[in-house]
Amino acid sequence: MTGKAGINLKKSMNNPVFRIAVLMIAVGIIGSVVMPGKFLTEANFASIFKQLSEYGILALAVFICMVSGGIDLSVVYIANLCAIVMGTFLSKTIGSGNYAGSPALMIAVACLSVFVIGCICGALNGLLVGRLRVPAMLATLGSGQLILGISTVITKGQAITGVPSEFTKLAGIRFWIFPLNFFVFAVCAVVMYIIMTRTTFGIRTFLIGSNSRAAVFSGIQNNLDLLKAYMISGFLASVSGIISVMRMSSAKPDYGTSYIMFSILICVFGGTNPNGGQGNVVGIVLATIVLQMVATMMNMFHNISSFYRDIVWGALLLIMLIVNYIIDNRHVTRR
Amino acid sequence: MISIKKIFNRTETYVILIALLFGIAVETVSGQFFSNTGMVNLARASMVYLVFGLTEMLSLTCAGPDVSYPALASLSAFITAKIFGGDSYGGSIFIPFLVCMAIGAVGGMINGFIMAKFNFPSLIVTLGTSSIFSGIMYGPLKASNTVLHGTMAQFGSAKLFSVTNPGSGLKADLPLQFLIVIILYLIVFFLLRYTIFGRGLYAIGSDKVAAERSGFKTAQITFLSYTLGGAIAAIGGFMYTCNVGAISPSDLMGGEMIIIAACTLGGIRPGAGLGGLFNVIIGVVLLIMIQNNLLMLGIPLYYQDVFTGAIILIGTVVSVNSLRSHSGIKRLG
Repeated sequence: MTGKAGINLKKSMNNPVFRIAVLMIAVGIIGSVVMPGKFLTEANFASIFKQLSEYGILALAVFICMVSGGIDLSVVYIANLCAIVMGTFLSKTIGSGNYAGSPALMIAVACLSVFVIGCICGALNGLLVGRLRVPAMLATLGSGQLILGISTVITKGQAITGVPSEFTKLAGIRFWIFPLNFFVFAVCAVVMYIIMTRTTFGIRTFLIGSNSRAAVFSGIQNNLDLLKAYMISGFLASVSGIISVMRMSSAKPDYGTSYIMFSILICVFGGTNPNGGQGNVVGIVLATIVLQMVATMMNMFHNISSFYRDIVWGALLLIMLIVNYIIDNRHVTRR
Repeated sequence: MISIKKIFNRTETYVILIALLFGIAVETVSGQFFSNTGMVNLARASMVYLVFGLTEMLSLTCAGPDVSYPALASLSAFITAKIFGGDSYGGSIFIPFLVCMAIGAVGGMINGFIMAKFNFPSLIVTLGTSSIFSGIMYGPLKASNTVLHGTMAQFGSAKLFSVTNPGSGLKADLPLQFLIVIILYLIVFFLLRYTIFGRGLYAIGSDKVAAERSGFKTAQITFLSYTLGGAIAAIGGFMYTCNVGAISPSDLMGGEMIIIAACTLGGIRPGAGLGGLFNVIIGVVLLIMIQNNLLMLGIPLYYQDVFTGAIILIGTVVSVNSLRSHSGIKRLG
């Protein structure tokens, strides 16, 4: 029974992943033709992999909520809150020299407490969406505003700077073209892949997303699973926050608000159904890489202002929605 | 007895109660709230938001949230102001007004076309179009802050009437533009109540399939509603630009959260076919009241987001639950 369902899910998922893989090769070819000797270089890919982890992880966070039939608009604010707490904590301890143990221990403590904060924020969303039945979009919109407010109160509206170098130098660690950030993203993606495909919780999340009523009647505790899904989302957001403060060595309550739209774009690009119940982690990873490749390519044209990117992202989001819709519907009618 | 119970089942009652309590709190601290100037200031502050509330209400009632209207409003107001905002234009205000509306309507048509043709969440579609609109404004059009002159600036500073507080001697003006708000509300009220379009909007919101089966042209109505929404958003942008007396493209961005929050607070549920003008008004007025008066209560400005967020959350939880008990249906999924 479960085996059969697994195969069916896989069948419908194979398609978008294949599509993105083709797109990725196409973007690579276009890049190397348009900018010979500049695009397909080690340095360029090193910078691509350096930049994509933050919103790749955010996209994973949005992804699990989208699969469960909701959405999480608060991820960026959770990430910013976590980055602010991390930055403040580290500069108060390591930065000013009053701490016990080694800096590494302090960083570990900070990471753990930030994970807890992320999970708490996620649990708030999960409670609102699951237990209190607030539409996910409204719940996360409100909690995002609340979390933004908390960050603003902590920082009094200022940006956090001067994060100790013991922590920020970690961002410089590199293995060939892959920086440490990318490994964090890779680990998150692998764990998410296992959760979504190999655990009963993952399968149940897909079921809740495709038909929550049917899920209730087949004995699934929606509330608990939704709580877990949003907690995972909050946790991933906190990871993204840590990476961002590590890379930028600063944090702001309203940093990167356009990442919300970008992570939704990645999800849709990666073949996630915005109505829930369909999606694939591999698609998300590939979509993240493809979109960052496109972004880097656009950056190489110096005469194009960065605002043109907004037009491209918006248009891509709409086009991908429509393309996925048409392909999915053709698939259904043929069967 | 039953009617009292009914009254307390409605979200509107609670919103009005909260607004009154808040007003009394501000009044006791500052003594500036329940006065003629206080009321005029409140009306002036909520003017533009009331217009945006209409756009959001149309979208929320039939499909879901529209987050593209701030970008659309800024874009259409920016283009209009670029053409007509200079000293050289001294003609009637109606031409820039209509041009702005037309640009907004075109933008709304893009939303409407996609929403009518496909069954996508409106949030995601409008996120995409929002990005396109703001990209067009900052990219090819290179938007930046510019001061307005000529007809548009005069229109922005024209007053409907002004009042003076006999106690404190403070003065407050109600801009002429407030008339636009009233006319818009009358038009939308008429459209929603007495036309097939309006009835269809509610029908689509509560059950799209049922609406289609009972003969409503759902695609047409959805398209029309977003077009209308776009035009209204552009009017809001136009009013804001005239009122400020300058083109400031980034000012309105991010305002969608507040308006969605205001509508939900007022008792409108996204995509549920519920929503009226009264809900928009009380929601918007409550939120604007809170935003503008926190300082009066001695709360620092950076606490504003916490308050807004908390009020959105509490408001939505209360209104969702009161709706559930009101309709008597236990929702499973």
